Amino acid sequence: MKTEARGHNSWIRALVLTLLGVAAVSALAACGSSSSTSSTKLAADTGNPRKCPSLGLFTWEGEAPASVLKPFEKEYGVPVKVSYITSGAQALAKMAAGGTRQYAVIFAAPETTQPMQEAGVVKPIDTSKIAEYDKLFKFSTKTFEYGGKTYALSEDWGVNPLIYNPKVIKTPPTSWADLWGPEYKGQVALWEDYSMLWIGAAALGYDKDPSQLFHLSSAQLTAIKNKMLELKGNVRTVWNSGGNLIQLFSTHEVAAAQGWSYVYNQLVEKHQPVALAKVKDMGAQGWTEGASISSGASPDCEAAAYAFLNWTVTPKGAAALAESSGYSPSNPEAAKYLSPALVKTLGLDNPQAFLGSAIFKQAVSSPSAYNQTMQEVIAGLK
Amino acid sequence: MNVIRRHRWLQALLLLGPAAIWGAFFIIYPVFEAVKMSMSEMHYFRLVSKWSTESFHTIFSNSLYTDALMRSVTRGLIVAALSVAISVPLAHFISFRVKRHQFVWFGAVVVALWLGYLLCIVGWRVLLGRTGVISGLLTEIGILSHPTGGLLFNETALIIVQVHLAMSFSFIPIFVVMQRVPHRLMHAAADLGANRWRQIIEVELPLAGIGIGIGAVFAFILSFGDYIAPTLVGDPASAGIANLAASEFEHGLNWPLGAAIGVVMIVVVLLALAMPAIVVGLMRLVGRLRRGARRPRRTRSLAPETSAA
Repeated sequence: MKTEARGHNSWIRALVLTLLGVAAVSALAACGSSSSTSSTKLAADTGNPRKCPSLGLFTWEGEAPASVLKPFEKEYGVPVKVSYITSGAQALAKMAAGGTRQYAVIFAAPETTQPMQEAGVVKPIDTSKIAEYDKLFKFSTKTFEYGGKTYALSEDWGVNPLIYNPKVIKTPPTSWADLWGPEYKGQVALWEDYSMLWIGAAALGYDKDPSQLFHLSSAQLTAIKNKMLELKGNVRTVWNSGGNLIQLFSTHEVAAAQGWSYVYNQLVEKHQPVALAKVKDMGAQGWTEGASISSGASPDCEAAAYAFLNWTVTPKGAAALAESSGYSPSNPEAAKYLSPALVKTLGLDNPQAFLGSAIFKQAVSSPSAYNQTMQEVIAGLK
Repeated sequence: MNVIRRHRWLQALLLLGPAAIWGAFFIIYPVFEAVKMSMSEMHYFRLVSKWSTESFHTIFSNSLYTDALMRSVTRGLIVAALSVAISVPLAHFISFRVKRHQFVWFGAVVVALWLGYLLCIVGWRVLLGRTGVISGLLTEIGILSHPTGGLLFNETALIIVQVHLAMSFSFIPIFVVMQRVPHRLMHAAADLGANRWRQIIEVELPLAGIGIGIGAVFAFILSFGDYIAPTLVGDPASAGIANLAASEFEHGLNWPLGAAIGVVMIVVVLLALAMPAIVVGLMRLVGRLRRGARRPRRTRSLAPETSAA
């Protein structure tokens, strides 16, 4: 009995000591973090990029090649951890749900950067800390200015092209309206993004007044929906990632799609029969991509983010990004490091001619209404 | 240790506590947050708690969402029925006909579980695609004059893929329950004159009923909540209710509506999970009523009562 009682007591004692130990460690950790937070606040303006444990980068496929990451990692000794975005709204949702602690740099287009700024997940960029800022194309940098502040550094720009297989589509398309033709029966893939609505908008002539494209009324959205539903029979599937679209073209499931330049470049590398169509009514297929700094980045990682941003817009860094992504760099001096053929392909010899009729996308007045219209189009394509 | 042995509440706490804590943090709390979000409103990309039912009203008043919901439920029922229809004879064969190495047969059926969900789907795209294996084979042997894209991106392809994915999950509970059906009962039925079919229908299947019900529920839930396979192998209009939920978060920035769709999906899944219990309860009620109907009625005797001496 005595032995049992002694054993029982020692068990209780061990349990109490363990609980006290856990409580003590938790208290110490809390004190430690608060003291590190206070020391972090003191060091707000004096972050050391080399002390950032890793730079979280949230970007699109093709925008984080080794040729861009490795030189930065080598110079600063900071590993870059990359995650890929599938849509701008997904990026916003993820950042609002705690991604500000995970990512220091987020690549986003203006239609996403503006809501990110509204949601408070990105902070203004101090353009005086970007050495090459004044050399960047003004038409791309101004797309990220809201309320007199710049919320992203323009990295690249381009036009979402009409990609087609010339072995199947014998007549090169010259307009988005060609997708409605009989030659495209069962051959079209649409992007599962409300960007698909710009195709219908262009077909209806709404892009003649660019300002209305991003503030379409419900009557206009219905008209676009009805126009897109006429594509029934021509649309084979929808795609929602670059890899998916690459596979669709590679396996000859589709022969025409609103796509990305990155997808086109990958297909060319795989020696797939693809071509880019020069359509006269590009509509809101123009885009710019900018790098924002997360509002949750620590001072050290914010300093690392500025170092990374500075590198990516230098002529050499911008050229490395352009070679990988196939997107036009925001720094025209990147042309010095690109082949003449690539300079021409990216429109760096004549940017305005390259943009043509394309309008840069902006945030829409009601993402929910545009999304519902897109879903009604998809649901009606059977 | 004696303390634990003496107090049953402490035993229950230690046994159920970790699971209860896990359930509370990772199931109950997220569901509560989803319900709260579904009753909020979005004001310029920020959630505002308002306890509004507008999102639910949007779902049930707009045919886009109700059609997608019915589509998902219908497809789930078809996938469940087909998964069970394939799993039951397979489980019967392995349980009653395979004498040795049952484990190998079992492994061969559930191997799809090891391959990964996305890999299975991509594999089916390779098989069913325009330049895929089946189209190529049919062209080679002359059944088709040229490769066809008609095998992929339609409802049939989607159901084939979902049945393949769900079958492993439906097969396991059916097989486990069939293993427990005593063979002697089948022999007894045979001795009483029942042929093979009657043994299966009147002895084996009723005893394996709960496993069949659970297998059907698993297959239904997997199909109902799937939003990747419809995008990768279905036609554009195959999008189910799960696709719309994802779309509200990814494209529409309407998180309350997306959360409301999620809550509706949770209710449907809970109903599906309750179905086996409901069906068993109904079957028991029917059985009781039938037994009550068969029991002879007590009638009053017409013979004169004799008093005790």
